[in-house]
Amino acid sequence: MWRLLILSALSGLILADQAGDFVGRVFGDVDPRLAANSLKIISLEKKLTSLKGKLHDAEKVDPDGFLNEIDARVSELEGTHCAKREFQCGGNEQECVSDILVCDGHNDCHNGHDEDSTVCSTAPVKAGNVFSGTSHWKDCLVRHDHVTRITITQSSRRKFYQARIWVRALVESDLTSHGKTTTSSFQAKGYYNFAHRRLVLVPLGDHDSHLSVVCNFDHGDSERASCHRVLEATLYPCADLFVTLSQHN
Amino acid sequence: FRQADTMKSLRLLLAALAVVTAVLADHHAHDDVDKLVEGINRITYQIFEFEHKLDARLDPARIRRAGSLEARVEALEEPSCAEHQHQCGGDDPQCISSLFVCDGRVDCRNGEDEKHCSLPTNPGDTFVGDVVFDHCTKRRPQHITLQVESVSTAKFFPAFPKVHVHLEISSDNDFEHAEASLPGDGYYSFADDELVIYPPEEDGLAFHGDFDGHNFDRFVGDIIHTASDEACARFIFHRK
Repeated sequence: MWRLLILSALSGLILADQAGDFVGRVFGDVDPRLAANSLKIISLEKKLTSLKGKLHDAEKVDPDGFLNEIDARVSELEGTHCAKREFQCGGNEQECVSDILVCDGHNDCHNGHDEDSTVCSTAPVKAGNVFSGTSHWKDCLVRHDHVTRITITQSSRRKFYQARIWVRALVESDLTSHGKTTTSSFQAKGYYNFAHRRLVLVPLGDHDSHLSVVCNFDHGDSERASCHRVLEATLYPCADLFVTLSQHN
Repeated sequence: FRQADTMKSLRLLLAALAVVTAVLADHHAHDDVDKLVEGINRITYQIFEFEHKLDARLDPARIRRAGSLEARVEALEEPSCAEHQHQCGGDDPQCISSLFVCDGRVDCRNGEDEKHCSLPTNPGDTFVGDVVFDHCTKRRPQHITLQVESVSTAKFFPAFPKVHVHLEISSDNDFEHAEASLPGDGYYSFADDELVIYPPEEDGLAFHGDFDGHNFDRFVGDIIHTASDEACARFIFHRK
C-alpha cells in the first residue's frame, strides 16, 4: 500500500510542471527508486512530527491513574467497618489496626499492607511541594473565590516514631479587593497521617485569626487533595479548596 | 520518558537513512538500494506500530467508557454543587448556575461550560426504550420509541434548545392491539444532559431522558408525575 501511495505521490509531483523540475533538479538521473524513497523519508519525517503532538496528548490520558482514582473514590463511598482512628488493612482480609501503627516500620497487618510502599509514600509532603487551588468560602469569612497556595517548607520524621510526618508550611492567598491583588500569608505547622492520607496544618502563633487547613489525598495519587479551611477547635468547614501539585519547572 | 526516547532514536535512524540515500545516489548500486528500501520499510513499520500504540491509548471510545464509569461514581457521591448548579469539574472544581451552561459565554475558569454543547437529540434521531419498571403509564408498553421531529434554538439563549418529539407506543393485551403516537414538546438542558418532555396527555406524566454526559447513544428515560416529581416508570433508551 505504501508503495502505491508513494508512486501516486511521485506521479502527482511529476505531473505538476514546477514539481517535475524540482524532482529533476534534485535527483537528476538517479535511480527512480531512490527518488521515491527520498519522498518516503520526507513523509515519514512529517509523520514523526505529528506523532510528537499525539505523544503530548497521550501523556494526559492516564489509565492507571484513572483506575486508582475511581478505586479511591469507590472505597470512600463503601466505607470500612473500622473504627474512627483505625486503618483498614485491605485486600482479602478484613482487618483493622490502629492508625498509630501505620508506617511505623513494623508489620501490624497480617498481609503487611500497613507498611506497603504506596501507603507509606512520603511524596505528598515532600519539602518544596507547592499545592495550589481555588478557595471557595461558604462560611466564616466573606471572600470571593481566590487562589490559595500551600508550600511545604519543612518535613521531618522522628526515627523512634515514624507513623507521622511533622510538617511546616507556608499558606498564601491571593486576595483581590478594590482592583488590587494582595497576598495574605501565614506560617503553619502540622502533620501528615499515612493511614488516612491526611495533612493537617494549624497556623503558627495566634496573633492573626487564620483558619487551619485540612487536606485529604483522596484521589488515588500524591498530586491532588481535597482540602477544607476549618476552625481548629470544632473542625467546622468554612471553605472548600481543591489543590493540585504545581509542576516543577 | 521511554516513548520520548523511542521518538529520538527513530529520528536518528531516519537522519542516518537520509544520509545513506545521499551517498548511495552516487554509487547507483542496486543491491544497496534494495537494502535501503528494506530499511525504510522496517522503520515505517516501527513508526506505524508506535502510532498504533498511541492511538490505542487515545481511543475516544475508551475515553468515553471511562467517562461513563466516572459519571456513575459521581452519581453515587454527594453532589458537589447545589441544586440548579453545574460542576465545571477538572482539577479545580467550580459551581456555576445551570442557566449559564452553553449560553455562548465562558463562565467556568476552565471553560468547560462551553465545550460540550452539541445536541445529542437532532431531528430524525430515533431512540428505542425497553421497560425496566412501569406502574403508572396507561398502556404499560414493553417498548417506547422516541422520535425527534424538530429542534429550535433561540439565538439569544442557546442553553435550552426546544425539542419536539413523537412518542410511539404500541401495546398488546388479551383484548386489543393498540398503537399511539403522542406528540410532545420539551427542551434539552446542557447543564444536566437531560431531555425533558412536558406531559403529552392529560394525565400529568412527563418524560425525563437522562444522558450520562459521555455516552450519547444511551439514556435512562423516566416517566415522572409532574405533581410529586416522582419517577413511576423507567425505560432504558438506545439510539437506533
